[in-house]
Amino acid sequence: MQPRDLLAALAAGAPLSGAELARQLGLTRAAVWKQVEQLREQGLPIKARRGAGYRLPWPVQLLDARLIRKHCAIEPGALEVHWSLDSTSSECQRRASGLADGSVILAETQHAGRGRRGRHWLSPPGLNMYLSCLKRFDRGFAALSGLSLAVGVALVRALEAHGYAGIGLKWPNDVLVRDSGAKLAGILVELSGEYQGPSAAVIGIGLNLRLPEVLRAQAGQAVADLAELGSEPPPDRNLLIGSVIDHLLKALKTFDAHGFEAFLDDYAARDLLRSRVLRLSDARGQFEAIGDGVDARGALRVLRAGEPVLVDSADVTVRAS
Amino acid sequence: MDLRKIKKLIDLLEESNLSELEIKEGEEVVRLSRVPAGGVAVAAAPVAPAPVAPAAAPTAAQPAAAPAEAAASDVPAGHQVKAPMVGTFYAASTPGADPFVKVGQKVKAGETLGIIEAMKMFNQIEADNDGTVVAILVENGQPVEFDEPMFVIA
Repeated sequence: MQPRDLLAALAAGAPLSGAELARQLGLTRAAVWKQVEQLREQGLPIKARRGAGYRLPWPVQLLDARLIRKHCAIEPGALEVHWSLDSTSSECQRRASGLADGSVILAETQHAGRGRRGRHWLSPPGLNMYLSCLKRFDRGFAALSGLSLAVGVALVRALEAHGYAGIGLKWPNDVLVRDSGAKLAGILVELSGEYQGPSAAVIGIGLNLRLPEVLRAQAGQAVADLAELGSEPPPDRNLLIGSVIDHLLKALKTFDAHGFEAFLDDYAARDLLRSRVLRLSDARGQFEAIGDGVDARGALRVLRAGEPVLVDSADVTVRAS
Repeated sequence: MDLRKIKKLIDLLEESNLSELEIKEGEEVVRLSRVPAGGVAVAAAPVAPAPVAPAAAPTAAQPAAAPAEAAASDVPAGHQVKAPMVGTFYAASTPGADPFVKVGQKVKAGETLGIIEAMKMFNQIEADNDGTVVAILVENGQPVEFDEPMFVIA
């Protein structure tokens, strides 16, 4: 049984007793308790006080396909909202052949969220954004160079449209808070298809709207959420996600027509690696270099002992200055 | 460099008595060479802007790329699956997982053989023929160049 209804009952942030929840949901109090525990295990800090009942520390908005769609100027191919998936990208991959171009799949929670190289991506229900978009292209893999960077630009544009400032991009696919370097969002692009012909990209985006303490501790790196970036509470979750989808679909259309080159200026304005001392590592070893922007294909440009070098694949860390 | 330009270069080579022609324009390189029959073949040089590998500079890099080249001479016969792009090759979906394929394994067209990562985009490399994997020419985590042979399927 899914605890979605329980979360919906608590969404407003007002306390409700176990007995009241049991009555509203048509469950026994034991079943209510079990679902509360389940949500807590997923990282949702539901408080309980004797006499007052269960309460969320802040109000939440559950995903609502109708409301999200209302905020999209470009109609997604399909728009699906799931309670729980292994990961939105896995679902997109499995059903790629049957999904319309530009389809978007969202989930409240993922039980096997994927980050880079299979790293775990934490996902409590009701709080953040886990989105995957299927986009088809006709011109082979080479034309898709820089797609992960363009998606980052689209995401930052959407956030800036909601008044968030000071968000930057770390090559190739991280969205960070400029001052602290804390990670706000991650992007994962998976391609399949023909090298010279039709291909499909599954674009996964995880965006932190609100991170409970327990997840910050588990993240293993500095992380940030939108709640801490604005002076106001974060905008309505469905509104924000709708506008992320809108910016994403718009950007994918531009990318399909003009490639990454059309995003170069916007990327450069948010490039967090330029002029920084970087450590690059791959299977062949490590070297230090200075960030020098990206090229029209989206490859990282660095200066190594004064010599320009282009990097397609490497782990990059910024050396503390 | 657009196709018309390359076509012009081919004409130029055909009219000349050169056996090879290499044109460098910024980051793009096109190399044309004449095959013995007298025709003109577009060599394996990158179609995409020429990738400059991160370790292009002398010290760190060269050894890692060597095995594949050394192996080229005794690569078993069969259909070669080549790298469609520059990047890092991964043999498995996640670190520590079983590789997608092993030598001796039968594969069907469309089956995933490996992944190439570039700019954190993960590209599934699929078998384009049914057959048996008779050689894997790249190692997990190894950088690959455009058009580098990675698998032989017979």
